[in-house]
Amino acid sequence: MTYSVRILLLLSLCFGLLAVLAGYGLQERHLEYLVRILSQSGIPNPKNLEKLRLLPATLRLAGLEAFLSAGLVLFFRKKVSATVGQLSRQLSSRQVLFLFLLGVDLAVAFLMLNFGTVELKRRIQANGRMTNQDIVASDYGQDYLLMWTLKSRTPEDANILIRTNNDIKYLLNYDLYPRRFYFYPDPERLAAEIPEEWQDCYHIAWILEIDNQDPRKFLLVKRR
Amino acid sequence: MTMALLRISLAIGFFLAAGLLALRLLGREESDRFWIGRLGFSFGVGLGLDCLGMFYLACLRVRLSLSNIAFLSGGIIVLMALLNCLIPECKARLKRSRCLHRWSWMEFLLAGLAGACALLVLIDAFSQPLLAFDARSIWGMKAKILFFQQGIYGEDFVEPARLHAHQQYPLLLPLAGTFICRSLGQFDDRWGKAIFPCFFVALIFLIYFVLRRYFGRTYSLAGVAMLSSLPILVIFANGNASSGYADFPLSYFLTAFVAALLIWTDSGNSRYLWLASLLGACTAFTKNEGIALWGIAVVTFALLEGLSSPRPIARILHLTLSCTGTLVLLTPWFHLRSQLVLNDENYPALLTLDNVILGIGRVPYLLKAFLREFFLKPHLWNVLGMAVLFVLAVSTFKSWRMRHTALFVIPGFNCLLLVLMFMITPWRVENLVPIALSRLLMHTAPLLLLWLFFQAADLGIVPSDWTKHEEAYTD
Repeated sequence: MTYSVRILLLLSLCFGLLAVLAGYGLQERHLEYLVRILSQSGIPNPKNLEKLRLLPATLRLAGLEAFLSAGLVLFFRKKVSATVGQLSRQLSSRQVLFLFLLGVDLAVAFLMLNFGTVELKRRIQANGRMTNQDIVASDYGQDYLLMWTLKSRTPEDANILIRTNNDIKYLLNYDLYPRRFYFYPDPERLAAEIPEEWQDCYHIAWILEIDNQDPRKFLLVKRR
Repeated sequence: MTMALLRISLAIGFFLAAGLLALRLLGREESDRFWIGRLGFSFGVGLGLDCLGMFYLACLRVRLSLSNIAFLSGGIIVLMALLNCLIPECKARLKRSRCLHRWSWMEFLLAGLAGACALLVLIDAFSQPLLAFDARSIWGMKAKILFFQQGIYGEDFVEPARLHAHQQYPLLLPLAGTFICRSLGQFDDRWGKAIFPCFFVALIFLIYFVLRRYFGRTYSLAGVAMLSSLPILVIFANGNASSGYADFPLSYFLTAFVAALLIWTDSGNSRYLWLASLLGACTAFTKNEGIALWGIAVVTFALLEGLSSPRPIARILHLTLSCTGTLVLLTPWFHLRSQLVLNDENYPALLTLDNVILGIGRVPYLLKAFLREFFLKPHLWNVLGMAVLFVLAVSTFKSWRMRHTALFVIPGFNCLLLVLMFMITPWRVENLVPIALSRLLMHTAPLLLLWLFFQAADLGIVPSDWTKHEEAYTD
């Protein structure tokens, strides 16, 4: 066995061992501190934490792949040795560095694929035979109460005056279409002070007020 | 489910047929041999033709019903077939002798990696309905309105008091979603996402096509593998290729537009400017940022042609004609847009000297955010930032005089534009940058990756066996 094959074997086995150990070691740990580094918003919300919980499984899978690649290096040792030998004679130091970067890219790509696969598997298992509506409902979480109330109490073609700064209004707008939501140009104006003529103009039948911070706090009233 | 898949395949088949026929007009030298490039371009071209056609119908107050849409897409296919008969074939400029070798294990590995990423994006798209915020509140909402209202003049689009996120955002993707859902016979946002994996596969083909024109198969496949495995395109929840956001389709159209211009500058085949006209219009009709990116790309190519072409005036005139074509295609959209309510930030109006001076205080934060994005987020960008830095460090003055420099200049200008945008934004920049920067940089990421591969080959920092083309080109 040549020197280059030994190094490749050692690297694969060390990485595999580290990944598997880290995978098992992180399994029961709190990973909130990683949210700041790995998530877009940096906020440890349930969705981000759920993704982080997939990290141990991703690492274990990467470890298995590293062991597999070690096996492949061993099996094709003559070919690997010849290729590495040829490359080391041909390549300049800049070329070695660039190829090293491409190698790291390949390794990260496999980690990414592992994470994607683990996440997809979990999602398919969780969603199972759920309908689109069920999946959307679970995505709303506790805020689903608001959507359920609107769905059950207002007719499909209702025109609803909405007062809130919370972005959930845009999701309701999409998920409850063809119900139509309208807003008064002055967002600070209290619902009771919005002119009747303006409401008549848009055939407003319902008034919905949602707390700006907590969408579970809302008030839905039918207009007289 | 089988029926749904069949109907979606039929709708995508319409896009591909229209695109392939349109691309045949470019001449045989590319079409017959570089079929993979045809597939890469044809999806976007076909989708662009159909969606622009639907938009013009809607502008003329023709209802976007199934029969009208079927008539339109059938008509486009017939028209393209007729044009193929009427317009004389472009004479081949390039002849080559084929001497292909067998695929190596490395090539199988790289192609397999790209294939696995495409499969992941495909399954991810169909595994759930639209859930990402912008995908539902902006793009999905517009598609729903177009599907149910069958037009663009309803109250949902034009009434200022009606809740509608970003009324002035362009309609290409919602129209494509409507096309798919109309062929399904119902609005279903899970199946309606079918176009997104198609964009991903089309971009893979396109990148392979562009690299393969100049380099060997191993090197081209390495480029494809590196692009398709960028985590931001595959696993990033808010904006990846299957999320339903408009950022990835914009990346595709911008890359296709720039690729068409690059081939035009290189081959001199002016029919690629026709293609660029349409792809430029699609770029601007996908997302508002598209107009700025289109402008940056056009100015970059005009400058490079002006500086390096032996007949700069004629070349710039040709480019101007192509841009005029784009603007003509977009005129109805600009007209409609001027009538829509502006219910969000108006960046052109915010671009004043006072605001820019005020925004200078944000520059240190922005610089840090950009550096963090490029170098400390391998879970989004892999080692793209590191590789670009390395290639920049070893670049020579001579290497900047090549045509592919445009592929670096466009992302560079995009970054400057983003800095300017964040300087004048009315929002708190510390809240906006973390949620928007990654997606905004995604638009030019494929171009940067192409530049990286061109530049690395030019500088000789990859083994020459990899970059050497197996097929000898002769004029």
